[in-house]
Order: sequence, then C-alpha cells, then structure tokens
Amino acid sequence: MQRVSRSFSGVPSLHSSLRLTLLAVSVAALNANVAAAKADGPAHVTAFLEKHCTNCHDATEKKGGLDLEALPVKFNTEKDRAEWVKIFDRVLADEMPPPKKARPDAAAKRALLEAIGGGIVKVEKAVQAADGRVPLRRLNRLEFERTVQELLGVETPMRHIIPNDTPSHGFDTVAEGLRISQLHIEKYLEAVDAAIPEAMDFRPPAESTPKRYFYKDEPGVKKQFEVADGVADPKNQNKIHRQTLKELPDAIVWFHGGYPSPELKQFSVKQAGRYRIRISAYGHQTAGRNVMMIVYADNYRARRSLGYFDIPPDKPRVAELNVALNAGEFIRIEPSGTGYDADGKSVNNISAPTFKGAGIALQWAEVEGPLAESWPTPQTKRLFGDIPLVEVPANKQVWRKNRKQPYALKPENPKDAAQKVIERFARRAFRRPIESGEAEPFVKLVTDALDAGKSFEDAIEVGFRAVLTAPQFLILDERPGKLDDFALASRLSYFLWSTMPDDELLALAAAKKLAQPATLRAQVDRMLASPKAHAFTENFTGQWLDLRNIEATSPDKRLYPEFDQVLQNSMVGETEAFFTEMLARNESTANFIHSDWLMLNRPLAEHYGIESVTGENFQRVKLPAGSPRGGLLTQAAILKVSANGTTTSPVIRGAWVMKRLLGTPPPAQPADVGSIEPDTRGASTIREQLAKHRSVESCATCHRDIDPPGFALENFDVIGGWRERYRSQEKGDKPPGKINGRGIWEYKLGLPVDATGELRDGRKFKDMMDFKKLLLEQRDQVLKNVTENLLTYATGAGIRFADRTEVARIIASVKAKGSGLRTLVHEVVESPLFLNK
Amino acid sequence: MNIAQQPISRRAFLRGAGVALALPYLDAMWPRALAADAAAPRRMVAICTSLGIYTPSLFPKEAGRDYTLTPYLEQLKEHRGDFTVFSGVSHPDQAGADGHTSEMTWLTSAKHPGLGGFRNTISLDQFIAEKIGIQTRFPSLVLGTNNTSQSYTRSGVMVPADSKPSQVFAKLFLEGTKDAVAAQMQKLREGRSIMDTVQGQAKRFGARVGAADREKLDEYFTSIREMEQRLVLSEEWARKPKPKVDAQPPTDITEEKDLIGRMKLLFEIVPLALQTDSTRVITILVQGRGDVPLVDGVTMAHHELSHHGQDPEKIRQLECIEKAEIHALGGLIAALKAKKEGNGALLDNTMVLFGSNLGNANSHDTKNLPLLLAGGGFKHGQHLVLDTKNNTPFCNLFVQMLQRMNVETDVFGSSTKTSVPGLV
Repeated sequence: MQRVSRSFSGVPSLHSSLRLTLLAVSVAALNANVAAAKADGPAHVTAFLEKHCTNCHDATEKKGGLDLEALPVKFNTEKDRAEWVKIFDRVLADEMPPPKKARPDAAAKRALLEAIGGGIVKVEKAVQAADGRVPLRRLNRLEFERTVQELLGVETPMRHIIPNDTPSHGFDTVAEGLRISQLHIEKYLEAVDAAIPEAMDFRPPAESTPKRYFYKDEPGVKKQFEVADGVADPKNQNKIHRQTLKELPDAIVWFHGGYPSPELKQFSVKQAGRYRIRISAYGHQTAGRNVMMIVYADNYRARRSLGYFDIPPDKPRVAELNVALNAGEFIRIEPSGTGYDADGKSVNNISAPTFKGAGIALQWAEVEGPLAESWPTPQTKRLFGDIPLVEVPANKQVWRKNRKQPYALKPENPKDAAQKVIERFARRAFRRPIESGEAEPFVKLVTDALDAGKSFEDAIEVGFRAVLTAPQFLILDERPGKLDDFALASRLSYFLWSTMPDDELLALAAAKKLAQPATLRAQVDRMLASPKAHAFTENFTGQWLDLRNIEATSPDKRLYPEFDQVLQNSMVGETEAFFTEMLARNESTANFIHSDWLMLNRPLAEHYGIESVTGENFQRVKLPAGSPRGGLLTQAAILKVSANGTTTSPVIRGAWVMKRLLGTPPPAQPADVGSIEPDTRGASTIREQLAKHRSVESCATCHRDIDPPGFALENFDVIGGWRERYRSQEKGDKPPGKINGRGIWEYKLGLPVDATGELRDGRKFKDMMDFKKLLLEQRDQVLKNVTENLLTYATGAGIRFADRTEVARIIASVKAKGSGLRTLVHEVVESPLFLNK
Repeated sequence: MNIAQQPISRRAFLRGAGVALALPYLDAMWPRALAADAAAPRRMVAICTSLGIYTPSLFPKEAGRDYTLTPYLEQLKEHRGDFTVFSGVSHPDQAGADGHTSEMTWLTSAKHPGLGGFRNTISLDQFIAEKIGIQTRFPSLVLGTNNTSQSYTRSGVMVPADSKPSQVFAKLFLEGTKDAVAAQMQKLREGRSIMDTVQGQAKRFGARVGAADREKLDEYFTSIREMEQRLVLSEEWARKPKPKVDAQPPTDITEEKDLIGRMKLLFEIVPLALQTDSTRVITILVQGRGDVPLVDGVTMAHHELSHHGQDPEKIRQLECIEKAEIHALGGLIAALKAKKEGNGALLDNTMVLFGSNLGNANSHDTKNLPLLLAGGGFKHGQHLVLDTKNNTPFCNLFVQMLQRMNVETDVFGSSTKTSVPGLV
C-alpha cells in the first residue's frame, strides 16, 4: 500500500477531476445519510473485501504490507483511519483491484466507498466537534518576533535567538509541529530581554537635519590619492602605488567592493532608529548600460544589505532609502558585477586612471535621522500612556543597553501607574479584553519589584517579561466550535500579516461585527493592501515553493560567473512579486503553470534575455512572443532551489513539480528496494544516466512520472538561465556572449541539451513550451493543491479526510468565479474550516 | 544567559581569569566531589559529518583485529588500539522528506524524518542530559560548525548549536565581574517569580480547554516547571566559581569555508570541558556545505563532491576533505589520551562516537553507516562486521553506550537489544 502511483498525464488529469466530483458527491451524500450506509455497511463491505481484496491482502500474502484480516472495519483509531483512507483512494482511483483482476461492480464499489468514506468522516467530524480541527497552537518563531516587535514598538531582531520550528504538513504554522519545551521558555526570555530595553530607551532624538557626506573626504580615499598612480610608494620603494579608485571633478569612481572598502565612515549611528539615506551616483564607463549599486549597513563584524539600485550611465540618480539602523552601524556602497574590463583584466592589475571597465561614480550620500515625528514617541505613549518623562541629573542617570538614560518615567503613584501599564499591555498581548483579575498576578510582580526598591522601568520590565511568556500570549486562544470574534481576528491576522491583529480588527471583534461576511471580505481586502501582508507572501511562498532554501547551494563560480547577490535577491523578489501581483489582480491560478507576463527588474530581465526593462523594482512585463518563460516553473528562484549549484537533475526537478506545483508527491523510495548508485563514468549526459536508472523496472514504475517534467526543464541551468548546451570546464567551445559587458573565459559550451520527453500515456513534448501546454490540462489539480496549501497555512492543520468535501466545494466555487487567487483567499477565509477551531 | 557577545579582549580575559594563568588546572586539584567516590565520571562525545563518509576508503576489507589499514584509518593508525570500526549498522526506516533529512535522526532514530506529521524524538545526548545533567554546570554541550545540531529535546525541538568556540569558552571558564554575577543572580530569581506567575496563568487557561488541548497545556506546564528547576540550578552554579583552565580563549574562525579549522577549534574545547566536569555529554555536528572547503587539493564544492557519481577526480577530492576530518578526529583522540585522570587517561572514561547519517552520500543511502567508537573503556582495535544486509540497529549500540554512562535503561529509540555483539 506504500506505493500510490500517480500519473503525470492528461488522462489521469481528467480522471482526477472526475475523482474530485465523485468524491464530493459520495461524501456529501453520505454526510446526510450515514445511518443508511452503516446499517448495511459491514456486511457488504466484508463481502466486497472478500471478493476483490483478501486474496492478496490477507495474513499470509500481506501484499504491499496490507493485511485486511488484521484491519478491523472500524474507524475509531487514527492509525486504522489512515489505513482505510489509503484503501479508499486506491479503490476510488481504480488502482485497486489491480487492472489485471476482475472489475468490481460499479454499485458495489460505490457502496464500499460510501461505507468507508462515511465511516471515516463520521468519526473525524465527531472529533472535530469535541476538540476542533486545529489543536491549540503557539506562535511560531517569526510570529513571536513580529508580535513582540509590534507590541513594544521596536525593530529588534529576535528570530536568531529562538529555536527553529519544525514544519508539519509543509508549514511552520501547523499546530502539530509547534511543540513547547523548556528551551523555548529560556529563549523567549532571552529574546524579550533583548527587546524590552529598546522600548525603554527614552532619549530624545539627536538632531536630525540631513547631512551630506562626500567620499573624497573619506580617510581611506584620501590615502589612495596621496601618492600618484605609478609612483613608488614612499614607505616601500619597491612597491609601485596603483590607484584603484578614480577621481572625477564631481565624484569618486569605485570599480569593486574590495580594498579600499567603499565604507562611509564619516557617519556612524549613535542612536538606533529610522534613517533616511539619499545617495547620488551615476554609472561610469558603462558603455551605455545601467549598473547595480548595493547599499549595506556594516559594523565591522557583519554587514546586511539595505537595498540595491539600478544606476543609469553618466546621468546622476538619487537613490533614497528609509531604513532602521542599529547603533554602531555605518554605510557601505558597492557596485555589483563590475571590476573587469572587456578583456577580463581587473582594475587591480591595470590601475584606475587607464582602466576602461565599468564602475560607479559616487557623488555624495546624505543621512537624516533618527527620524521621529514627536517625542515622546508614539510607541512610548502607547506603552506608558501619559506617565511623565522627567529629566534625570547626570549623576543619577542609569545605563540601559549601554546607553545612559537622561530621562526616566516618573509617575505620581507608581503602583497605580504600573497597574494601568500592565493591564494595557496584557490586553494587547493577549489580543482580547482581559478578564477580571487576570492582570493581577502580573501587576503584583511589578509592585513587588517596586517594593524591593527597583526603578519604575526595571519593575515594569519584570511584568513585561511575564506577560510575554504567559500562555495567553504564546498560544492562540481558540475554543472548539465557531471561533469567537477575537479568536477570528487573531487567526486572520496571523494568516495575512504573521502578527497580532491591529486596532481596527480588535474594534470590529469587540463590536462582534468581524464574522459578518461583508465585514470579513472588506477586512481581507484591507489587510492585503497593507505592507504587513508581505509577510504572507514571504512566509507562504517561502515554504510552499521552497524559497527559504534559496541560499542552500552556491552556484559554481567558474560555471556561473554571472551569478551574484543581486541576482539571487532578484530571484526571490520575482517569485514573491509574481505571487503578490496574482493576489492583487486576482489572476487565475492557472498562471502558476503558464502566464504571458512576468514581474521583472533589470538584472532578472537581462538574465532571461528580455530587453528594455530598467530599474531595481519589479514591473509587470508582457513576455515577448516565443519566450520559454511564463508561470512559476521557469522562474529563476524555482530553478535554483530545485538544482544543486553545479548540475541539474531531472529527478529532483520532476519530483519538485509533482510535490510543489501539483500536490501529488511521488511516493517515498520503497524500503525494500536498494538505492541505485548514480554512476557518471562513461555516461555523458544526465539523460543517459537516467536511462540506465529507468531501465530497472522497480524504479521505472515511478520515474516514468517523475522524470518528464525534469526533462522539459533541462533547458534551464542551475541559476535559471536558458541553455541549449551544457556548460563545461574542459571540453567545448568558447561562449560567444558577454557578462556585464565583458567576455567570458570561465567556462566552455559542451554537449547539447535534450529537453524532449514523453508522458506515461505516450504523449510527447519537445521542450518546456510544449510541456506547459500539456501541464495546463492539470490546472484543476494545481488549483486544488494551492487551495489545500492555503488552508493548511491559514488554519494551522493539515487537510483531513473529512475536509475533502469542503475543499471540493471551495474549488468549485472559485472555478465558477474565474479561478482567481484573491477569490481563493476570500473563499478560504469564509470557509467553515477557517471560521471554526 | 549569553555571557560574551563580543570577542574578549586580552585585558578583559586577564581580568576575568584572575589568577588562572598563574595557577593552571592541575590533575591533582580534580575534583573534590570526586575524591569521595573513586570512579571518574563517564562521558560521551558524538560527532557527525553530515555529508557522509566515503566508506570504500574507510571500511577495512577484513573483519576482526588484523585488518589492513584503509586510507582513512591510516589517519588514525597511532590510535589503532583505541577504537572500533563498525560496518552493518544503521537506523531502520530512514527514507525521509529528502536525501538529507536523516541528519535530524542520527541521534534519535525517529522514523521517516520530515515526512507528513513527522515528530522527532529525544536524542541520545539529551536523554543522558536528562538523567545525569544535573550533576554538571552544563547538562550538555551542543556544538556545531553552524547553528544546526542533532540534539533534540523530549518534545522533538532542536537544541541550537553553539558555533563560536570563543563564546563556549567564555561560558565554561570565564568568570563575570562581581556586579555581573549579582545581576545575573537577581535575574534568575526574578525568572523564578515569573515562572510562578505564568504557571498560575496556565491553570486559568487550562480550565476552559478541551481534553485534547490539555495535552498541549501540559507541555507548557512541564516546560515552565523544568525552566524553574533550571533556574534554581543555575543559581546554585552561579554561586560557585567556574573552573580555571590552562588554555587561551580561542579566536573564532569566521571564514565558514574553513570547515576543518572550525571543526578543530570545536574539538579543542572538548577535553577542557570534560576534564573540568563542566559537562559530560557533547555533540558536534560538522555540517558540510554547498561551497568549496579550504582543503589542499580541493576545487569543487563539498556537497557536489559527495555526489561523486564514481568520478575518480571527485572521489580523490572528497578523500582529501574526509582525510582531513578524520585526521582532526585523531587529534581529539590524542588530546583525550594525553589528559590523565585517576590511573588512566581521560579517553578511558570518554566514549567518542564518530560517523555520519549517510552510508552512501552519493545516493543518499542511509544503510551501512560509517561509524567508529573510540575510548570509554571498551576493548577496541577491531573492525566489527555486523549484518551488512539486514543492518544491526544503531540504537543497540546507543543502549550499550547508555549503560556504560551508568544510565539505567534497556531500550532507546528503535533498539532491539541492549548491546552490539562483539563489543565488550
């Protein structure tokens, strides 16, 4: 029973939609009529099993590991139900009894399925009525971080402190995988200890008038120009000084990010906060091309990318960022993909004055911040209300997070004030009104600390730490049955924002209006329009499409010299932008298979060989005729996460397509069959290796389905570039193209790619464009898969047998309205699966 | 509980170490508690290289004591009498979500890692830590070349690994200032009142949830209770001075490609931590990476080399990396042998398990794992060939190791017996 074979062809697709309909009909009919099915259930079930099944599936034969004699026709235990679901599916799909055996009578088969299906549904529904479909679920690591940040009004990163969550059913929002351990409590405390002092930093913002800095004033730059190019170094007469920077009347040109580093050390952050940075730059010697500029925040130990910008040639562009900076950080600005001239020579070997390669001319950088509209900040007011902030004499100032605090909270009556602060905080943290007496123990912690002589801030901190490790905060408070309005607000908010509900959602919940269909619809639209909804795109696609693995492999630099950080960021950016665009414009989920448009920025468009796209931002681009792109599978991010950095494997990519796009994962490699050892000796292309692999029948059973999508994708290399020949380190011809305006010397073009293939049913395709046409016949399967993934992610539980009717209903309803992605999100939210625990 | 976020300056170190430099740790000083019972504590170190070990270069052709050294065992030839090589051992049912998910279960044996509603079980080291961890300042040390580990709590949560030797050294051996210690104690006491408070809240919460969800709340309750106990213990330990060692704090290697360097630096902590009885259980995950490691003669990415496809050049380069890894293991064995304890060496009381979760990384096969056990007072020096067709459960060895640790148990994970035949 382990090997459920799923075919990858048009015929079974028809078959699978039939299956859906039959399922919906049979299970729905059954829900209404369980009693009838049960009355004559066991007898006719036993008869059917004896006639068609127990010949092979008895205690002696146990074919496929199934012994029907040992399996009771009962559905009480999870284990038995799981077994019966497998039987249900195999019989429904006409895979059992096997094709060679006598066909069961249609009515008998239907009666069997109704008895099994109805029995399982009945038990599952009863369990769901008592306990709910979703077990109690805690905030995951990212939700914890975002919620604490929002509660405290800080941007302190915390995810690196908290233990990683184990995804279950593909997502880290699923209750089953979200265990709690002592380690979690320890790490939560550690995390909030990092964040709370940030919220109690009451220093008034330093002067925030914009200040302009010039690179020519940087010490490192000055030093470069102290000695003329080509002249002996005064300190070391044997060494000839070589300038790697170039001075223009209005700018300094940088050709790469190496030494001297393009750091702007004239400015460094004294006080953490939001800053506005403006940088004026233009491309130098770029032969009319744009060049990418990356802006980093650096603190000598680690650097993080703040953004990248497409800089035009010769005409300055002012790039603007609004970013959170931490104390001690400074800015670093680098060109990307430059440093070599047309012959592949580095500026380090030629020296800047005569170097003809591209670079970035940096004119100036302007920094303004920390930006604050008012002081005390709105975040401070939100936490501490109108408690006055009083100036403290210098000798009495305390240190908090290595900063001396010139202001302190001075409430008239500290205990009363503490009560108010803690109650307000608990109400927001628990995402609902607090019950009478509920806040008392937390308040007591604070008043005890005050009695012990702690300052108001230190005492409050104890209370905050307790609230943030309390079960009401960590666990979503959902009770069996229909969710109350507050629980619904939280479920909605963690689904679309990965954080706590905002004031509007909570106000609607308080007014008991949130569950009204029209309100719910309007709220979903409002929430999706918010920048917070990016968390949904990021966390959902990050897991559904494996985008979180984008860094798992580094492409071989010699084979893929065009690969860089900007391209990698753009890859994830593209797929996220594609999903967001589909959501925003309610595009049909068939676009996941093929679309005649894409979301591209300049680096990615060039990577795809599409011209006339400029800028770092993603724009909707209509694909030129004949482009092999369109849909998810030909997006660079997908092609990268399904490859290993050096080579592609049709098996891995094929399995990826089945698992992620179609939701029909190939069965796990059976335990009784040993692994086939890959052997590249004597085999020249991956296709030939697979031919050997597939010649073993036990493998071929499944690989007939797994390999074809992978073959179609062979025209795409490990970073998603188009290829007609494999890249090679040894044999082959010099590539004719150019990278960033320079020639290619790192690799050669080797054997030709063969992207043809054949489906299980014998239909052939010649390449990806062809294959996508066949795949489009599976659009219902894709819709079903997206629906199930969304439901799992949104509700926090995998799809159960009893959920199938509702899933089928959602699909039918979405299909009738044009299969739009936003329609689907609305349907998910309005579904009883979402509205009930 | 993190003591040092930043690299420790030499001055700060001298201040922290006090007289330590003048008074190196001496065997004779060791340890008062132990003077009473004669036996030295038993320890265990488990080291895994997650990208496999090329077994044709590891497993000798002959079984028994008179085997011919293989290229890998050549690296350990001076310790030949101190370890046993096993073939024919693995965890059953390891087909998982992908080719590398068996990494999660090397020390747990949970089946089908990563598939469906997979839930990991407790790892060997955390199981030991639960039983005897209370006796040391740190119940266990979980180390790794990055933050991933193979140590899992009872609830199946991965314990993040410490990857910075400087920080591990600081937490083991560097004393905070008096004020810092006082503040630490204060924080721990506060922690306990917080735990008290939230425990009350959980009761409140629990009063209104259904039977099925009460289990979840129990998990929370247990976590809180364990956290309380942890805080009590931490307070006790915070009162006691940390042990002094005659060693310089290490400087971290930030270059992640320097896998061997990072691995060796972690290995250097092991004898210090064990001999000072700061902990008795250590796990180290040496995580192979998708880039080119800094090893002479290697030009291709480690992960790619592990999928060598029988290409002789790739195998040659893979051997370069793995020889360096096994050579580093030799260094650790030598260091444990050099430290004297009672009448013998530290190694006699320390089991060092070394191996991989992949038997054949080329095909992601999880059978016939490359495994090697050194020290711990066993009669070593042989190639123990078990059932290479129907592998002996790895957990049988775990149970034998547990019993050697004086942990009373007859079962662990998928064990079927309490020992491995031939290992005494």
